[in-house]
Amino acid sequence: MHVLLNKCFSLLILTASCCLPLTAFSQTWEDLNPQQKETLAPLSSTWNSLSEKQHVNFLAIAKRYPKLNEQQQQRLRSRMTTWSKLTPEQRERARKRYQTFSKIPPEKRAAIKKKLLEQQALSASSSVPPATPVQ
Amino acid sequence: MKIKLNIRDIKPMLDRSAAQLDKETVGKLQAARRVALQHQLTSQRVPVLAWLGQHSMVHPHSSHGNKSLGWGVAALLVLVLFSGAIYWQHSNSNEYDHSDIDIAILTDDLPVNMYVD
Repeated sequence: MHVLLNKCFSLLILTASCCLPLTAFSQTWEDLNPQQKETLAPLSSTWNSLSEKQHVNFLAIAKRYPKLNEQQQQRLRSRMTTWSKLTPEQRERARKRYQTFSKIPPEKRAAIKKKLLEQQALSASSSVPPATPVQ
Repeated sequence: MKIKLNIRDIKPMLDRSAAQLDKETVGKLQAARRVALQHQLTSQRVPVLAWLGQHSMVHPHSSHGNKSLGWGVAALLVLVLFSGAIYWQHSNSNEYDHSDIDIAILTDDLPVNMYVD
């Protein structure tokens, strides 16, 4: 029985050590490689406070970043911080809305997008205080 | 004719009968007693594994049986742990990885707040 106990214990330790890398999701900013650091630079100051889920997600985004075109890369980097500051519920809501919106026929979707962008531009211009006339 | 015996009567009778045994038989009985005591001591140290040994189909004193049982239990344990780890990793990676849709939202024509508000 001692032999059996030792055998089980050894295999348990071996299995646990094999499974350890599977659990190592979370990485500190210092652990990231130069490419990841460059892509995720907007998050450098807040990275270590982000959740494990966000780390996994942003690392997956960073992996695919080089395949995006220049405009997409620029948009992504400028929106990363906003995205990271949303609550998990807000991000989930945004994903569901995006998925629902993607099911609309392309022509109708383009029209809605145009309208929304016009509305946004209008509200942005109305919130800016009128310029002081130059004397 | 029926003879009624109580526990007190049985003990001296057994002692008398034991005294009549030859040395070889007495030696075998003592050796068996030592093995039984040793087995009992081991069982107390590892109650769970002793239970498995006592309830297994193999003879508990057979070293071959113990080895087979040992490998069987160990293999089962490893299989359960490994399956659990794989399942856990798979479910986590599916739960965590929203990169497809997140990239689509973050690179879309519309700003993020359009989908949040």
